[in-house]
Amino acid sequence: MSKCRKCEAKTEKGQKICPLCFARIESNDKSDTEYPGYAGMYKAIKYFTVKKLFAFLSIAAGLIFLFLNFYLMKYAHNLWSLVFIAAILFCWGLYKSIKSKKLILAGRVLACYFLISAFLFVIDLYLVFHKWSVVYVIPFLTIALIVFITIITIVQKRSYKDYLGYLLATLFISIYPLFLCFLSLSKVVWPSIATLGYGLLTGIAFYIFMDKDFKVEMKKIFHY
Amino acid sequence: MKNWYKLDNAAKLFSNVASRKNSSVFRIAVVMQEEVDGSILQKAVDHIYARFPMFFTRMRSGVFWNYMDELGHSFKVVEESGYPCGMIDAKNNNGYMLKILYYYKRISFEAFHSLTDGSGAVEFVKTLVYYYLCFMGKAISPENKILLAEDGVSLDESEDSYSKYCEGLPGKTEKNKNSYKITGTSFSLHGNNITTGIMSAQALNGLAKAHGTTITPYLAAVLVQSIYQSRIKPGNNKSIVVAIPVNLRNLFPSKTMRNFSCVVNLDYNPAKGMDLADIIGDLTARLKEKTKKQCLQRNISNNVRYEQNIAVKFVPLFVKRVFIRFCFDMLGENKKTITLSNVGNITTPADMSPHIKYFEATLYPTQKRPLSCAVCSVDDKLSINFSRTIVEPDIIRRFFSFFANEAGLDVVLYSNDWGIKNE
Ligand SMILES: [Zn+2]
Repeated sequence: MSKCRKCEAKTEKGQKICPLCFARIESNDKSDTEYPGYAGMYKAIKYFTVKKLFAFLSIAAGLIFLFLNFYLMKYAHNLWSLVFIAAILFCWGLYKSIKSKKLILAGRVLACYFLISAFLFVIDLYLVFHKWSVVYVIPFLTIALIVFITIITIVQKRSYKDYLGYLLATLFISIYPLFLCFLSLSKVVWPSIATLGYGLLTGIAFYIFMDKDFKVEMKKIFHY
Repeated sequence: MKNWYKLDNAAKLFSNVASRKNSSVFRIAVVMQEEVDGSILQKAVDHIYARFPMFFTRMRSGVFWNYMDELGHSFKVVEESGYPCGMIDAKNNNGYMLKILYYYKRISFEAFHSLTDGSGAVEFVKTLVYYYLCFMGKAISPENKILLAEDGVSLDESEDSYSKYCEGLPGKTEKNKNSYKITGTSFSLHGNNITTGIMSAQALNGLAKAHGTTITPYLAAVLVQSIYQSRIKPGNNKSIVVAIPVNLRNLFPSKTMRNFSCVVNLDYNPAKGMDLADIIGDLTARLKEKTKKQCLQRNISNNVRYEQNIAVKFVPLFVKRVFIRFCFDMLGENKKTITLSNVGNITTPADMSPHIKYFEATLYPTQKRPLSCAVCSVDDKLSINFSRTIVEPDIIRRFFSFFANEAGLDVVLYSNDWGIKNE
């Protein structure tokens, strides 16, 4: 046991700083209650990183585009800067989802899917809205997503439980193109219906082929 | 064997409100008399792995509720390197929601609160240390005080006791009183500073008895006084609210290793006078009233009835999550000033005592309550553990000075010096 000279608190032998008044306590002993040192965690803080530089450049570029857009409004009567800003956000979104430490592969792919479809929709909207994004691109992108996630769910045998949730989410998403079509009052709906059909068939196939395992997992996921 | 578990009432809450600054991770640690051997500890963990299936699980997402699924792959003990009670990132932890760490003489068990509460964790740590010592070649008689790996798992140990003992009419929710909030300067790097004081359990018990009370309300009263003396300016009429987790296994015949405790709020308004004897009297009476079986039963029903509501059941989890977080902030966090968790006396076999120096219980601080306190004791050594995310040690200083100077106890202090040494 040692004693703090300043506040007279008794401390465990080897404690080098008084926990109550932060005064130093001279001691060469190692405390029985020694914790690891944390100096490394402090050193790991970085003030300059390439990522921070890009964040700064993105914000600067966005503001400059916005300014130029309004300044040159009398020559070009459209909001082209918003497309640039959407592109910058899109790039950041892609970077974040691909680099994500929280998500497994299926999750990252799913995030990219949403970003790409949203970005295409914005471009479509900007180019006088011919609805090519909602009618053709998004439905086929959705089918590609379902195919991809079906494949990784089957291939990743060991952690297929992790992927099953994503597969289910993807099957729900197959309704989404049809929903978009109705919202945008599009008359061409066959690609969206095809997507929905494909999603439904994938679900039925899993239910039949995966058998017992699949049903047990469904019970867990849908328990209430 | 059942290989997945629905979340119990408390687990649902913790799994939805946890974040980096509100980790919901607590720790039960043992300071041994000798340096810990990591490989022997690993051997002990491998040996008891199958005995505690409800702990070695991972959280998976469901549509209406998350659930815990057995993992079944190896668990690795790790040498401690970060601060205590930090968030457990399951993805970087092999999927598990618990950590078993060692550093020099300390063995620590950290668990995400969805898995279990203090009592469950203590049982686990006792078993772990028992086998660790056995594999170190020490002869120890378990004396019926240890859950042995050979005993086999009983279903009672993984039951959801909240649902089982939830009956009777729910009571009224308490009115939202204006409670005092502890604030302070954050550390330059987010982390938990742990300050521990060791004192004699018998001496403290004597002090409490002299005031006609027990350890928990006595400590709560000293805490209220310390907060008042170091923080509250005259004329401030906010109550100081000490939240006390109550182990429900003492009142209901449950053997579960999962969560089975609930929180009782003891509020004290400084306008009633700050004489310690008065505070003790008031808090003791309040705690007695609120821990009556009937009252606790109502407390459980209150929490459980929401999740059993048919309309709530079929709302997707991401919608529920928003409501749970909101209610947690408004009804839980905003009402409390500090949490004081008394894990109680940990009974170990006599042969184990010579190898153990201290037991420590550590509770996570949260964003709105940057100071937390947890207490436990083994033999005559009682440890009071404060964890905080703020620089100011004023309340802790008052608290321990009271025991050292006014109460005349021997208090020995130590800390992990987070945010102090490196700043
Ligand atoms: Zn001092």
